[in-house]
Amino acid sequence: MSNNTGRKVPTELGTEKVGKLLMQYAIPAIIAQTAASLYNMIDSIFIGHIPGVGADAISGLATTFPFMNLSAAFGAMVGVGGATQLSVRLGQRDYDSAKTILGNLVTLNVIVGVLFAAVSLLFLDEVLFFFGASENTLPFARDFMIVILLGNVVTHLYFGINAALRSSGHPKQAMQATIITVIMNIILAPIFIFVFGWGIKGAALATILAQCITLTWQIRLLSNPNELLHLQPGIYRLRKSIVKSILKIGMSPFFINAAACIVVIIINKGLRSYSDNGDTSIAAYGIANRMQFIFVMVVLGLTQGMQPIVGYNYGAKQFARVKSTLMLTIYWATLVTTIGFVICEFMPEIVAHAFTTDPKLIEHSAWAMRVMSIFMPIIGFQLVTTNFFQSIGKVNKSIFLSLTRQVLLLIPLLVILPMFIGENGVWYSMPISDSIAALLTVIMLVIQFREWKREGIEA
Amino acid sequence: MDNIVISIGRELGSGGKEIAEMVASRLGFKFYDKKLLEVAASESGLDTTVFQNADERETSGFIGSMFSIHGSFANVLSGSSCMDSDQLFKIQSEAIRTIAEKENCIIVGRCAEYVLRDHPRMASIFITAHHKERIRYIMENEGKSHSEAEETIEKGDKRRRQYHDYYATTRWGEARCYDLCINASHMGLEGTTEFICNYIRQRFLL
Repeated sequence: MSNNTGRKVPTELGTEKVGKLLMQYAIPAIIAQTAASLYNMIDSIFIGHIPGVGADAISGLATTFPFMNLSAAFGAMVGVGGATQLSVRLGQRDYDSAKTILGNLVTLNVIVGVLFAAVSLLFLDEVLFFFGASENTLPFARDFMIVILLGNVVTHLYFGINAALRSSGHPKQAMQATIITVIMNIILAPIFIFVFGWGIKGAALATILAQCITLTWQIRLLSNPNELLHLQPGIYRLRKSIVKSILKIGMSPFFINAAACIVVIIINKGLRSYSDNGDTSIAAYGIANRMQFIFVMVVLGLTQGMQPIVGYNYGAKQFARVKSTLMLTIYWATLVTTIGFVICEFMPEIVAHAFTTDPKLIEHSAWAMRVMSIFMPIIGFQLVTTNFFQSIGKVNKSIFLSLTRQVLLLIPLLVILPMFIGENGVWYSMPISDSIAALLTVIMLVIQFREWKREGIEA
Repeated sequence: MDNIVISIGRELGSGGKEIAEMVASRLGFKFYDKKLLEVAASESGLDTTVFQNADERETSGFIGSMFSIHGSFANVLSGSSCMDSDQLFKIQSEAIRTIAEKENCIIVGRCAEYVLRDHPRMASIFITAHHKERIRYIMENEGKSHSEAEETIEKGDKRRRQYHDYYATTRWGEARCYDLCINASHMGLEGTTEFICNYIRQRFLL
């Protein structure tokens, strides 16, 4: 750890070419962002090709999404809260406090991980029914979730310690851990599923085992006594003040993830009540959503790469650089979502084929992808601009914009539209809320630019 | 480091800043408050206005704290260094440490007593005053009504406590976190100033 990183980084942000900076900051962020959705995608692709497994298994798997979101919400609460505190203390070279935070982060992860798993296992069937499962799809969802929940502590520790690694001066190792876990999952899943014939349980086991192996490596890394910050006895006893501040900071990532969970539940429930064949519709949504999500995650990674560049240059009043960073990020983001658009509109059958062999489900999910992706090219712009407001300190505008697309517009639409046009109402809600949100975003960005012009800031 | 640093924390309306200024001029120390620290921190290339907004962001209400990414959510995920309030505090702390290395000085606020906790010759002081006196002080100095002053004090205390307790591991205004805590109402600005000067002279054998 260099002593003056706090000063060195900003200078580079103010002088280096914007394009080069964006690449340098965005690539690790994109990898971190897409990794988690990659596991899910890999799992569902392998599961979709288990001989004899049909739409029911895929539908069952789709009802586990909100479960994974909820688990991630609790993980993020502890992980992000702890890592943020950790980086503040390390920034002050306060290693005594930092190591207690690290210890408390580990203990909290274990407690939250065990509690979440215990409660979920106790009410597993009820929760899965609530998330959209049916009598036919429940057994598959249950098989998958039991293994995932038994390994829940490992998952939480893996993500929590990775966040700690990142904020304690080991971003490279954290990225390696992420990549290694994905690769191991890709190797283990087909062995467990096809060679050992463990089916859907094998997919879950591959995910957990991959995380378990990486976790061992992470713990070894963090146990090196030569590191200023390392795992050692006496740091694990919970301190009230640390727990309080971790939970306080962790509240916002918790709610963001929990909101995602609620939206998926509402969609699944809508499909179940309005569709003639709820299971197939839910499975189709699962496939279409996974596909779209990958592109959204890449864009979110891009915007995270943009944030420090925009943030610094805005602070340094280098508005020309602020604007060119924004434009460049919008350009790349639009390119990514347009590729997604082309794939989802013109070759959705090929995509659906990767996830399932069931012809009816292929047809339905191809149709779903077409509907959901109508306005996909503008989602890139929407996501980038939402984050842009955050980077320049207009946090409230950023919150408003991100809530409109995912919550304020989408949830009412999901509830009201199907009352009039049935199942299609659920599907159409998504592109409609995307397009309105994008329109609002354009308006707010134009207002912001005008405001700057009035203030005499010419970018 | 033979130079002496005095960090002064204070309640809104206690006259702490004036006392700090008077102590500085009497002892011949350099005086730094928020504004002057911003100038020092802007050496990082950032404009001073960025720092002014930074501590406001800590208190954006319930919804704000629910969904504000706290700047650092992205930070943690991507490992990049966002220009969020945490980063700004770090830059400001560096500026405080640089100042504290080279000259006798007084630093008001900014968690200086925590930032400089390893400084060998640092005296940390917290100045309070009776509630009534604080209201009177705000009413006189800012031309506010009684109820407005009361509200200013309430909000100001909350903001300072939140800012301090987020960035420092010590508690704002808690006696055991400071070398000296003093209620300025008893001896007035003048008397309190003299008392603090005497404390510094005696402690550092000036």
